[in-house]
Amino acid sequence: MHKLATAHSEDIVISPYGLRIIALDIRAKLIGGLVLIVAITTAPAMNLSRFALCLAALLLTALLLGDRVGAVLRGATVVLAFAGVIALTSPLALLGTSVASPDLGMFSSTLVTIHTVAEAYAYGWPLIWEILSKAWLSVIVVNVVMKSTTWTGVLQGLDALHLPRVFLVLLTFLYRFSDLFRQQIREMQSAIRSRAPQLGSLRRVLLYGKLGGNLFVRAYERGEAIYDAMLSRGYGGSLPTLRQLRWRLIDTAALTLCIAGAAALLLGS
Amino acid sequence: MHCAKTAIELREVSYSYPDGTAGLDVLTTLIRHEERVALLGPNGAGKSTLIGHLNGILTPTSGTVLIEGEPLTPATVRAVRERVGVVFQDPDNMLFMTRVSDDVAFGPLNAGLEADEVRARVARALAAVDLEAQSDRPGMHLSFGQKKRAALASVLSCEPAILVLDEPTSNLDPRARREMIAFVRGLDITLLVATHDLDLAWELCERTLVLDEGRVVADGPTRQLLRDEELMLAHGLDVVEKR
Repeated sequence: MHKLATAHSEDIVISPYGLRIIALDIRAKLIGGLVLIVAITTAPAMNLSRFALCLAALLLTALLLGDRVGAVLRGATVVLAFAGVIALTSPLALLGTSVASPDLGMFSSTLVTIHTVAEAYAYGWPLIWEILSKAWLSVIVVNVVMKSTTWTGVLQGLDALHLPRVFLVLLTFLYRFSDLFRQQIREMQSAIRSRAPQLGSLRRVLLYGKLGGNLFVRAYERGEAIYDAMLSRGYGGSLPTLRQLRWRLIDTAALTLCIAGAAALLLGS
Repeated sequence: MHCAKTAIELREVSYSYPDGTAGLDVLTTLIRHEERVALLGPNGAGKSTLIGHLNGILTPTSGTVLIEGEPLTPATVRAVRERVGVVFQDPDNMLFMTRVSDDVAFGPLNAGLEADEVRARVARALAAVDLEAQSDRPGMHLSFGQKKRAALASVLSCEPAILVLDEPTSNLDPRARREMIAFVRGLDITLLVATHDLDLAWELCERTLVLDEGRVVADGPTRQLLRDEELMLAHGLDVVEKR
């Protein structure tokens, strides 16, 4: 087992297998992750056993990478806020349609027409489960891939996979300047607290609305300054780096494993 | 030897910002190779505007900028940017890549140099500013002093003939400031330093230009100008009391 000090938190312990996953070519991880996400989202039905198998495999990978089960599960719940809205309204799409009633046993079924919202939710709960489970598993895949590499590595991999330059530049700047942006927000918050400590919640919210515009102007000005600095060093539309990727047999094996898992998920449906 | 050759020449350069504010007002000056020139002046005097003209970031409203005798035009601007290295005041604006070494390699790679040559330049530049150990770290995780040095390395790796520094010691603690001055003193290069740090000008530059309201109001030996109380106070500067 190896201890690695992270930039933001306590030491983490990574198993030798985890180190091998980290050492994989980022392209293998990105393509493998994408293949798994496509399989998860396009598999016709996500029953409980299939869901449990997927989750177990992903959690095992996360554990090898030194992550904690609770952290992995919690980290993925962020998607529920977005997918939840879609999931909870999806049964309404059944209104006026006919669905198979499961009440008459496994050898026969009858079609039921959905007339009311209550009926839509009574027959549509599998839809909610389908959307939430798939979204949740997909985010866990993303988190596991991100856990096994650095943001720099991801950008390099995306570049090697020929993602359009404009997206790479945007992602690079997003990564690089998210920290500065947070810093600016913190500074503005401190300025507000120090000069208006008694500000009520509502007025504070309204003030933050105004600060949004201010932040936009600051971001714009900084963007201009950065662009000038880039031009000064010969910027011609790309962000070249010296780093080189090396594809090995183990990368092929890892990708094959991901494709096999995805195929099993699709064919087993 | 470049000694007698002109590095930078501005001929009656004027510049107005889009809102009509005058940045430079019929400014004429000349800097020779291997000269070290301090650019002093109060806030809003036009120091940063002048710097913006030296590598084509800003285009004069009228007048001509010549770098090593060649007029700066859209056709020559890329070549000029390889010869004039500008280190801007805020290092956060210069460290936009995800790792320090990527930032240092950015200029040489854009210049189309071979990978081996770029690696050698990156190593030399990082060693020069004593940041080899930080090469794989993101620029944002460095201390402010380290960021300043990384920004300098990102320009040194381009191996410019002319180095322009905008407030190289601003916001540095005394130790980092001393290190920066010592480092810049060791550079064998044509140097233009815009600064409010009069001690830095005194220690580094044999010649000083004082700018105010977009014009050169004084041009002469640094120590002579910095002792001129009337001149300094008239243009929002302090007097340096040194022997």
